[in-house]
This record gives sequence, C-alpha cells and structure tokens, in this order.
Amino acid sequence: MTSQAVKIQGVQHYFGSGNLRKQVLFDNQLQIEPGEIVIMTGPSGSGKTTLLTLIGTLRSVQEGSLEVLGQQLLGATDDDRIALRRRIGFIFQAHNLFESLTAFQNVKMALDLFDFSPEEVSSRIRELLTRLGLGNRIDFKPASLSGGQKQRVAVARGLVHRPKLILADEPTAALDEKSGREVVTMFQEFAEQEGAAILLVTHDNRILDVADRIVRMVDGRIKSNVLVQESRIICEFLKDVPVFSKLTPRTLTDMADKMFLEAFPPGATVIRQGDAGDKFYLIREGRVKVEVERDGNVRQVAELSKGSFFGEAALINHEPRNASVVAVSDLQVYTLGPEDFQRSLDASATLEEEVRKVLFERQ
Amino acid sequence: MKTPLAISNLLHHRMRTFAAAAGVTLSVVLIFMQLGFLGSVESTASLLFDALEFDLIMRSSNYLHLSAAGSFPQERMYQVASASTVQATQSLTLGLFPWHHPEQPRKRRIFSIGVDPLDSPFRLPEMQSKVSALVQPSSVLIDRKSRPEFGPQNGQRFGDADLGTRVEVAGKSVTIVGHFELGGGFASDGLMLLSVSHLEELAEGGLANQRSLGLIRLKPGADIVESAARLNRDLPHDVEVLTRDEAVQRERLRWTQGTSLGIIFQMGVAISFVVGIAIVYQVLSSDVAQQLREYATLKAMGYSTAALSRVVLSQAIMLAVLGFVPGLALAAALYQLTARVALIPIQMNTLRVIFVFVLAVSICSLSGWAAARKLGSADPVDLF
Repeated sequence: MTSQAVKIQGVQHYFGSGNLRKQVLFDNQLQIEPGEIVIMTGPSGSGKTTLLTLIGTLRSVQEGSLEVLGQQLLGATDDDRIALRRRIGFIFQAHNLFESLTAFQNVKMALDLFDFSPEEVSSRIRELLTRLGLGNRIDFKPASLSGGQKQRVAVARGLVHRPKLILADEPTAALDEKSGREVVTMFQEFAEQEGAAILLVTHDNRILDVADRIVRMVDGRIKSNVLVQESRIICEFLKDVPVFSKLTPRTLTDMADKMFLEAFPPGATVIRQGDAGDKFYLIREGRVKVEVERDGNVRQVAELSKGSFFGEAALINHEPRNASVVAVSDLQVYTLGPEDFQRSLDASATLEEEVRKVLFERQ
Repeated sequence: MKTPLAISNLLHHRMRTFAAAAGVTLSVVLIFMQLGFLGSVESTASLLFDALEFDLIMRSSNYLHLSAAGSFPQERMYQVASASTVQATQSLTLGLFPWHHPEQPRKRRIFSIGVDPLDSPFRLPEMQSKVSALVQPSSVLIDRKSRPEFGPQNGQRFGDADLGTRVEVAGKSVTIVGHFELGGGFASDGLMLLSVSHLEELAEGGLANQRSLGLIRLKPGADIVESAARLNRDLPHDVEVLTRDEAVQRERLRWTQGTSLGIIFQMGVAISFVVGIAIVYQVLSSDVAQQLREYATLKAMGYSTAALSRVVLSQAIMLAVLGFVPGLALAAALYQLTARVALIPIQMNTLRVIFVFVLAVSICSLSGWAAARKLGSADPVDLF
C-alpha cells in the first residue's frame, strides 16, 4: 500500500500497432497526495486526456507503473478495474444524464452500486443537490433543467459516493462563473473533509486558484509540475526584477511554471567561464560573486543577491560563458532551460528588448 | 430499491415505446391468426367424425381425405357385422356433386353425405332428428354453414325461408326440406345430407352398392384397439379399420402435413416472428444508440456491460408484455369476425395463448439481446 492517491512511474503509452504505432505518453512521473487538488493543463493532443483515462482505469496501462488508491493498474484484470472505478468519481465535460431519469434518480445510479440504506441514499442525494443549489430541482428531469443545473447534477453524481479520487474533465466549461465557483468550492471542501485527491483537466483560468499544484503537459510529457505556492514566490521575484517589471502576470507565470529549484553550498561554482550556456538563473536566497578571468588573472566584477538574475548572455548570444559565478553563501536559485528561456523571449518582444537593453548597459 | 432505468426509459420515450409495442402487437396478431387458421384446419378436419357415432371406422384403402374418400363394396359391411365384438354397423356414402341454385349464376360443387334416413348415424340431436325427413323422395338437408354463394334466400345463411326451394343437383331437381349445422371446413364450402339411395341416383349408378365410411359400434367391454387389429387382419386389404383417435389424427395430419396448408401457416408464423424481431430490434437499438454516452458514463462509474445488458433486456421483456396484451385482445376480436365472415371454426385456446406469449417474449429477448450488443461500443474513453 502506498499513501499516495495516484502514483505514476515511467508510464509510456502507444496508440495503434505495427507501423502505425505512435507513442503518445513518454516516461511520465506524477504523484498526487490525498487531499491535493491538481490541475492539469496543456494544449489539445498533449496526452493529458490519455493520462486521465489511464488513471481512471478506462484504458489499460501498457508500460510503467500506475497505482491508483493503492491498486496497481499494470496488468490489472477487468474485474479489478471495474471495482476500482466505483471508488473514483468521474465528472465529464458533458453532463451525460439520462433524459428519462430525474436529477435524484440520475445521482442515485451512482449509489445503486453500493448497499446503502434507502434513508442514507435519500439523505445523501438531497443534501448534496441542495448544497449545489438544486434543492428545488431534485425531482426534475434534465429537460427541465438549465445547462448549468444539469452539469451540477452530473457533479453530484460524481461525488455522491464519496470517492477518494475525483477525475474531472473540464467540469466548469458549461457553467457560468458563479456555478463554476460553487463547484470548485465543493471540490475544495471534498479535498479537505474527505481527503479526496482531485485531478482536474481544465483550461478554465477562473478556477486555477483552487489548485495546490499545476501540471503542464506538452507532447506526451509532463513539462512542469509546480506547486502553486512556489510559483507565486517566483512570480514575486520576477516582478521585482526591474527588467521583468513590465511583463504581464501571464508571461511571468509561464516562466515561473517552467523553473526548477536548485541549491548550492557556499564556494560552489554555479557556472564556469568558457562552458556552454545551458541555463538562466534567478537567485531565490543567498549571494554570489561574478568573476572574470583574463590572461590568468581572476577579477571579481560583481556581487549579486536575492532577486538578481544571471546566465542570460550566453543563452541569448549562443556563446560560451563569459564569466564564472560562485556561491558566496548558501544559495538557492531558480533555473530555466535554454528552450524554455528562448520560448519566453519569443513570447514577449518586450522581454527580449529589456534583456538586450540590460546586456547593452552591462558592456 | 434500485433505480428503475428500464421502466423510466420506456415511459420517457413514449413514441418509441409505442412503436415497439405496436410491432410486437402486429406480430402477435399475425401469429395468432396463422395459428388460428391452422387450428381451424385441424378442427374442421375432424368435424364430421365428431358428429358421428362410432367406436371404429372402416374406410377404403384408397382413402385420401373426406372429400376424396374412395369407396368399398357394401358386402364388407356384412363381414364386419358378423364379427364377434361388433354390436352394430352403419354406413355412409360420400360424394361431390355440381349444385346449381336457380337464382345463382354459377355452379358450385357440394359435399354430399348419403345416410340411411331410418337409422341416423349422427350424435348431434338436431341432425339425428332431422335425418328422418330424408325419406321423402328427392329431398336434401342443407348445412347452414354452407357459403352464401350456394344461394340462401336472405343472401347470408340457409334457414326456414329456404324450405321448399328446388335446386338442381347433378342435373336433377332436389328440394330443400330442412337445415342443420355442421360445417364442411376447408374441404368443401357447402354440405348437404341426403338418403343413400338418393345419392346413388344422383351418381347415376357410379356408387351402386358402394360405401365410403363404415361406422362400427362395439359391444360393451370389447377392447377397441384389439378389435380394430382383428378386423384389419380378417378383412381383405381393400379396406382398413381405424379407431376414432386414429381417424381424427390422420385426417388432421392429412390436412396439415399432406397439403401445403400446414406449411403455409407455419411459414406465416415464422415470417411474423422475424418481422417482430426486425421492428423491436430497430426501436431498441436506436434507444441504446441514443443513450450510448449515458451508458458509457455508467460503465465509467463501475457498471459492468452485463448489468447494462440486463437493463436493455428487461426493457425488451416489458415491451413483450405491453405488445402482447392488446395483441391478444385484437386477435380474439378478429377470431370472432373471421368465424362469422369465413364460417370457419376459429377459437382462442389456453395452450395457444401461452405459446404465442412465449413467442412474443422470444421476439423481444432476441431483439434485446441484439440491441444490447451495441453496449459493447459504449466506451467511456470516448466521453473525453
């Protein structure tokens, strides 16, 4: 038994067979703790839905280890998977309610799989629908409900059996802001009170604030996996850096999402003059000194501290490092790889301009 | 209690439910009618036997069926009468003659039974009492169940108004002196009784001293089967002796299996069955197809395909009941109408009701089973 709600290790997935076999997921790692709300984003075709259906046992795991609520899904039987589905709550983009059943009955279909007493069934459903603002719509059929109301019934159907893992695909896409807010608030309560892990695939940026973690997938790979709290700290830093002050919060967040945290002890060399440039650095904590070696003489040219950045020149001009950077104290830096740095530059003309200006001023 | 999804689906999609139930009703009515006709072939086949009083019956070995009975020499009757277990014998002569009613444009052939007016072989009280009227020369009794084309005064049914009417039979004038009710069934659509000597006269000597059926009554306590066996052994091979059950059974088989009538009606049943499956399958499968996303959602929630198949199957069984009840009522009404218009005995019986109900359930189960196979394509992965 593992304590994680979801534990993904080295999961690969392929569609098709023979010559048409195409890899859609590449060596993915992800863990979701109980009570954690994870939002997964990424362009369409990035594999996030495939990953979601693998976690939801709707597809068979082909390669790698995937544990959901303690059940290993690699090589699991159909019966194992059906049993596990009953412990998961699914919420789909479309409501998929039976037109022939009332709101109450549609939700009850989820409880029919268990042996609850009729009183328990009735009180759970009524309580949940009431909390979702449908108290006066309990015995209505979908035809008499608005789109938002139908979606909330579907949400109730996904939550009523108190699953320990909730998988939701664009659950708020069909909802107005207020209903969407109610639904995500309910997710938060569920995560907190029931210890349910919640994985949301969404492009709805109105609800990003509920996420404890945001996972971004691109081309079948988890590109970034950022704790939101950490991401906020990075943004604060980036915003305080004069060259980034004009950037939109979005560009800042994009940059923040892609950064990794690295630590160095005092005296460690962070970058060495003459090496190829492969990273951009932002100091989270501590100080560094910048040294340039010329004709055998090492000369300290600057000392940088919290909020300063370095390492950009080699990335922009595609040249070797023109100086060494050595940690003076315990050092924590955020780093950004060359492709992501370049992408951030491309995304924002302003950023590139600013950086070039800084470079120009330094010379 | 679990959510009654099957019933809810039927109640919610009313037009669809109505269409499917109507399909079942149609099949049920068609099947009832085919079986009804088949049943009336069987029961008319034995009508005459049922009306006659006998333990054993003797007939020509050339016998095909009642209206092609062949004949045997009258002396066989004497041989039978002398057998130790035989109490009494009577004989009938059967013939088919052209019938020409003065007010009808076309001639018809009438099935004719020649009897001894002074020794009625009939069990039915009405026939027994009226046969004696045939002592009058050139007299006949006409079956009220003869078709109207034979020319009753009121245009529908022979009755008292026809008494005294003179009709030309086999070119000779005869007088209707009475009427009775038996029914000739599918072999003949008109039936008359006359005296044996009158019939021989109409046949112009063709049947002189010839008999068609010999009716044998055994002494009390005599073993029927054993007596039949002994008579068959002792008599020449131009005749055969049968028990009542054998005679009835062979007559029925002759009609249901020896003619195309049986196969026609059985084919009718089979086709109605297939038509029923086609209609119900069409409706059920479109019901499943329309709710495929919902069923897929249930699968994602942890319902097995088998559990969902049971929903579709119970929907099908309910359709069977919904369609069967009006089908039974309609068929019963049609039976009455047919009996009145076509003058054939067609009746509902319990065994047939049970049999058709089983067929209706089979129609719906097969359709439901086929429609439920679509559930296999309800893949939750497609919901994303």
